[in-house]
Amino acid sequence: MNEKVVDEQALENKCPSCKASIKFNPKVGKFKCEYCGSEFTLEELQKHSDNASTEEKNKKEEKVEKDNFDAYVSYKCESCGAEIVADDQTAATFCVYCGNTAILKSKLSGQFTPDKIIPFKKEKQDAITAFKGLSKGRPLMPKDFNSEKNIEKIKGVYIPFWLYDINVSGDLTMNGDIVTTWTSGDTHYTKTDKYLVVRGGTMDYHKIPVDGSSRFDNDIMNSIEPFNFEELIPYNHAYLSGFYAEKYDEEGEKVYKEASERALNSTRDKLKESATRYTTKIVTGDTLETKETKKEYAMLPVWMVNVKYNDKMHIFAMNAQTGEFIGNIPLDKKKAVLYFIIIFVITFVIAIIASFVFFAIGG
Amino acid sequence: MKKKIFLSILIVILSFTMISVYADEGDTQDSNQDALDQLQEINENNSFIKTETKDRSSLSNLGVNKKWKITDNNRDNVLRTKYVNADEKIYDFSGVIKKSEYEDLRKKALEFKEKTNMEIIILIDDLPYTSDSENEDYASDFYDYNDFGLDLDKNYSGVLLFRNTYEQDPYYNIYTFGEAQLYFSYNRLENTLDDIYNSLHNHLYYMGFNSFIDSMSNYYDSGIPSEMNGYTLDETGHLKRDLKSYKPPYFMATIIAFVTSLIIVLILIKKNKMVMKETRAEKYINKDDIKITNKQDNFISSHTTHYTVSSSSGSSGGGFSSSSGSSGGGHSSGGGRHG
Repeated sequence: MNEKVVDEQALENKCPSCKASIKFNPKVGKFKCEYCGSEFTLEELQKHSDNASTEEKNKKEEKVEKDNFDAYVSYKCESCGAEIVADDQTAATFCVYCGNTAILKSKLSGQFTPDKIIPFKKEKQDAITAFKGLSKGRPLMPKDFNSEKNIEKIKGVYIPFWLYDINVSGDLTMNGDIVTTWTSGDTHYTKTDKYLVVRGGTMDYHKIPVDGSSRFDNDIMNSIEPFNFEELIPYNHAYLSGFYAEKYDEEGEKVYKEASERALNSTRDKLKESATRYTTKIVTGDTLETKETKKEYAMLPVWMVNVKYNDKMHIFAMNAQTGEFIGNIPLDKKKAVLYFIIIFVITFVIAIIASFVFFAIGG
Repeated sequence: MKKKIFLSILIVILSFTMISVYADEGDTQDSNQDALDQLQEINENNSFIKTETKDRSSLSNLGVNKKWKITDNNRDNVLRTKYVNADEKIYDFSGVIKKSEYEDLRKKALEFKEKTNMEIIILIDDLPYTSDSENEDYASDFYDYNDFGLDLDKNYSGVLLFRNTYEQDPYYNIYTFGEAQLYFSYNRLENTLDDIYNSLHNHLYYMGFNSFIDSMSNYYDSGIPSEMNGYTLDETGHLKRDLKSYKPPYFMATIIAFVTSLIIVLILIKKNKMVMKETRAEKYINKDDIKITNKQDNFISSHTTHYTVSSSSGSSGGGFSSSSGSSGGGHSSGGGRHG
């Protein structure tokens, strides 16, 4: 496996004013230089970048080594010259010595070039605040779990998503019952009319997102949905500055199946719902088929928060566009038992008092 | 001389004859009198009784010998209430009961009182009314402002059947006072009202009232019904819960508390779990993109089932229907019947 890997190029955004590294600032929605304070839009940055492109092209990252299993590769940091080591999936990372962003351009070119991107809107501090706010309404969270000191790692990652437009068409067959009841004199009647019900048509779903990276748990990525796809913009490497990025390693039938299953389930629901006059409906079969009408590759912003509590790792994620913060909080079992006992005692006492009051007023 | 003797004998015979004739006449007169008396008695027994009332306006405390206070609020009620001899037990102001029937019923009422220490009163009157509650007011005032149960206990226990013979809408109901409220629960009164309906509806009053007294007597023998357990009477004869008899439902409360705590704790546990697999895609479809073009509703079959609902009224209803009279005293009643 010691095969040679062609040289890679790391892209680095530089401030047109002072040449220091410049990052995308989610708060202002522009690129902001942390040294001279200058702010630039992508267009402005691109203009300057084009001028310097000839010079940049000459600088190439030298591939140093590749490990014997995964394609670990290292690059030379443009800023300080130190080695940057990254695995095969990493598309943007940081130099561990000077902290500069290194965008591994070749990881995001050719077939790996994303079509769209939603830039970060939420900052690191927003994710920390959301994590600290987890205790609200969750009394069974272990004490101090949401303390900032438990955050082992927090990083902004552009996660590769496949966005599928799917057309579902076909028929759904159901057994439907209409039950009517009435009373005549002392006799109560129940009439059941049985029908064979068919509902069919077509439904067009737009941009069902499926996480294209095997490194991130699909359920977590499902849980931070939905993203507002109105804000999707054409992809540009420049947005990656200041964040990590991944390239997809899952595609094709497996990923499509996930999206199409969701579309099929929702179509069944909607067709079933549309048969409104029935008291009970039992689905007996369908001829529904899905067709992929469009597929886009998009980078979506997520704050990944790794929390270490009692020597166990817990992963949280924040939709860096909407601020939706999710993750599984461990259960404080002692608290759960205590709550059970307290609620039991309170309910028991209330029940006895209520029964006494009910008794006393002569119910 | 023979002639004198003959004359004397003749006179003696005549005298005896006259005496015997006279004596015979007297016997005939006696037997005629007896027959007349018997006839009169039969006539009297077959005649309808007419209950007499006394004027209470001039009496001390308006003739109310019970503990009720007479105030401006109830003075008119007292004055309106007929004042009767409390020993009669059967009061017929409509003239529907014959004297012999009256005697029988009164005898039974006295026996009932002797056995139960409770009065049993039958009141028949022609009372125009617009709502059923007017019957109740009338009946409870009649009981409260007469001397019924005065010699029994502080709550003047007793039961009163009021038959309103008001032609437009005849009504009858049973009212209970004092301890009778415990023995004759709503359900028992309802059953009795049902049982005597046909008799009263068909004006077979003697039969109906008899079975009313029998029914009350039988219920008394059965003791206080279970639904009235835990009730007692307050100072004014109102039913109230006997708090001493309260038994906390520990088992039920344990189940309720267990289920409630389990549900709440499960909800709280669920709040800690935010990661869920998404199996639907309804967020990614617009209304306009849903096109349902095929709608088929093919009728296959139909069937109808039926069952008969029992219309028995005896088992329904709560433990009692309690009210206050104008006297402030408590009483209960059955549901009442029209007919």
